Amino acid sequence: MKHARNDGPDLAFRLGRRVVTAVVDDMSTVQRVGVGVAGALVALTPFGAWSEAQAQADPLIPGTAVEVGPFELTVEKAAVADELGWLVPEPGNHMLAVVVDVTNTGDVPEYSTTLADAVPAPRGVGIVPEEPLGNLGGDLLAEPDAAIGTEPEPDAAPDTPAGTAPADPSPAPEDPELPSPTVVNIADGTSRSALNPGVPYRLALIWEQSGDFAGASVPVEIAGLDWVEEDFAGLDDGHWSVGEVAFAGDVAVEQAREADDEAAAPGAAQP
Amino acid sequence: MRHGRRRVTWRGTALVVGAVTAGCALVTALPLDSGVDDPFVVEGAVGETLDLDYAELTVTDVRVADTVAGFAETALAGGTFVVVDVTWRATQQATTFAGAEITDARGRRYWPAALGDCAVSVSTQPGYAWHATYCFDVPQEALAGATVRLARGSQSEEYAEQRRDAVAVVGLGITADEAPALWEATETVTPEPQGFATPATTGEGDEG
Amino acid sequence: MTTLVTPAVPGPGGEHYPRQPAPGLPPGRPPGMLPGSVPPGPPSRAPRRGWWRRNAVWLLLLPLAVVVAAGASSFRVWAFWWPTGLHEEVDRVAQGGVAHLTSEYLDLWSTVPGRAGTTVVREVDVTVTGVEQVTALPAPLYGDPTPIPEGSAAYAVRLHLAAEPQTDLLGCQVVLVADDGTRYGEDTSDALTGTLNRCLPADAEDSLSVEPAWDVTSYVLVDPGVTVAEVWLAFGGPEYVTIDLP
Repeated sequence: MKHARNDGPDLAFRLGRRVVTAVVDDMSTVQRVGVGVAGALVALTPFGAWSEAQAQADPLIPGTAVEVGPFELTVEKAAVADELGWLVPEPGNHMLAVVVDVTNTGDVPEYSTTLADAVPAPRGVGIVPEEPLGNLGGDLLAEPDAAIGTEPEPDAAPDTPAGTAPADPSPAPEDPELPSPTVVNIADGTSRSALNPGVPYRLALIWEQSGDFAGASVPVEIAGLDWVEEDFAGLDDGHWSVGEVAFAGDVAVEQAREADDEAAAPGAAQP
Repeated sequence: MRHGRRRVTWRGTALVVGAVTAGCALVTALPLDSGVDDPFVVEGAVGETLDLDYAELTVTDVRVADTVAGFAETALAGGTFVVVDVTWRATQQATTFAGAEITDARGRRYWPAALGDCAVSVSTQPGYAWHATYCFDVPQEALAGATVRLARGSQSEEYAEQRRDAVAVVGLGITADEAPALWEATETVTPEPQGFATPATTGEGDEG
Repeated sequence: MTTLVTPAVPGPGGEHYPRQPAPGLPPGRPPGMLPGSVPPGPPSRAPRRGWWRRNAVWLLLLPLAVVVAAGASSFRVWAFWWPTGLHEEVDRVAQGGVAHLTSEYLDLWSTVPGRAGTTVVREVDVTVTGVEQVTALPAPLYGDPTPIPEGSAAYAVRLHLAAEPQTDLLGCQVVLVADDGTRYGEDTSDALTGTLNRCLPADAEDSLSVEPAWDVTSYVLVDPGVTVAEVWLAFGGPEYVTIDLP
């Protein structure tokens, strides 16, 4: 039985070795070296052997435009507010908005989520982490049980611990996943899923922030966006991929309620 | 000592590599993709009813506005809104019309925004005409000579859903002379919510 | 150059060693196929076989490989196309006859005890008792009647349905099919009269049947002047039943 299990891989390995041996046997030394070098080059490719060495992130200066993928982007300021329109924080928290001027310099519309992906949440300033998905999954799994629960079942007892498990908070990881920002058009408080070419937008990138934060600035990072023409791994041709951090800098936080009024009131600006 | 086999010769290697290279070059050079996947484009003008096989389409009106007002929200254009009123009449089965895109004279593309009562995708059935309004936020240079491309297949992913399918391309009728005046104007348009098309919305020349 | 499958010539001086299958090996796998595995065959006077004969096994396998490849790359047909849409006619009767619609579905969120998360077989008997054009639509539960849009004709479809009580009729479709194949009224809710489920009375609380048999009337907009040839009843497909109209 043990043999039967091992037969498959073993056979494949033996066949493979034979084929390789057969080919290598017939080659001259120069040929062997050439094939070896070529094989090594190919083998290194998936590990980014040919990517340019990562340079240090450039400084991000508020008010100065930077090029990120299809976008020309200027970080204007940051601001905190108790709530921004339909974005209401948990009691005790507030919303942090980073205001950016963005123009799509390409020829085709780009999703505003592409922009959101390029601006990760500021680290170390109390951005509220993403809801862990464990609870949601637990609810979904518990649902059929709840429906059947009306009739007594012997299985009910073992189910209970499983159902309560997600509620039990696992030790919080050191570096929790921070959410992508919500993107809001400041002029009218609407959300735009696509940013059309050549149209200037003033957008607020908004996160929920812990009420404990009282700093004067937040560290904002902007990641580079690289065009993936042909995606060999994911079969997702033609998309922007988020790269390493390309720009980083501190952006002063405005404590005023000005940003609140600007972003919160749809249609407040002159019609 | 080699028994009964042949050597890997430089000549043989060159032959194989050469053949593979030639094959790749041939596939790259030949226009294999063009033509096979092209959509069937039906061109028309505002007010004309176009037969798309799966639907009859009429672009009833084109307006330019700075503000699009709606019941739930009012939107301000980053550039200016091109508001396109259309009437869809499905002719085969229940159909979702997911494609709507403006192309300007230079080939830049613009997608509609789901703001207020502005539509991005429209679902109808045979048996009646259905009115919908698309709102595109575009820059000034997009106005003159722009066309709108409407179809049941979406335009995302490089028109993948429109391959070998009928597509309407309608000229918006904006000339280079009119464009600056339209850009300067500060109109507010309140799009009509989607619904059964009445003769007023199917007829042409409905001035907003 | 080494050809791994079948060298045209077994080796240097191969002309002096005409090919012959080694004992114990099936014909068609001559020595040299996996070099090193078999000692070179002894000299033999057997006539050289042609390329087609030597590769007979692979040639036979080629059509099979094409079939397997086509099957493997057509998974979208059953994964996406087949389950969404009306593709399988399970019964067909003339008007007045009883059509029996059997369809199977996975019930994820049923409120019926013991049914959630199980595969349910739904059996519904349907009789078309009338299909006629109407000049006005009845008033919905709330509000005024919808006027028939200009350029459309409204039809009332009267059905007699029979099913075991507690049968889930969610997603009921009453489709009028014209003689040119156009399908009218595929949507599940009836916007004209504000009915959420075309298979149940307007005041039904949920999508479960209550009576063992009942009558419903459904309204469908049709292009003026077309001949309605068939009525289809379905629950999202792929199964449906056809009732031919006279």
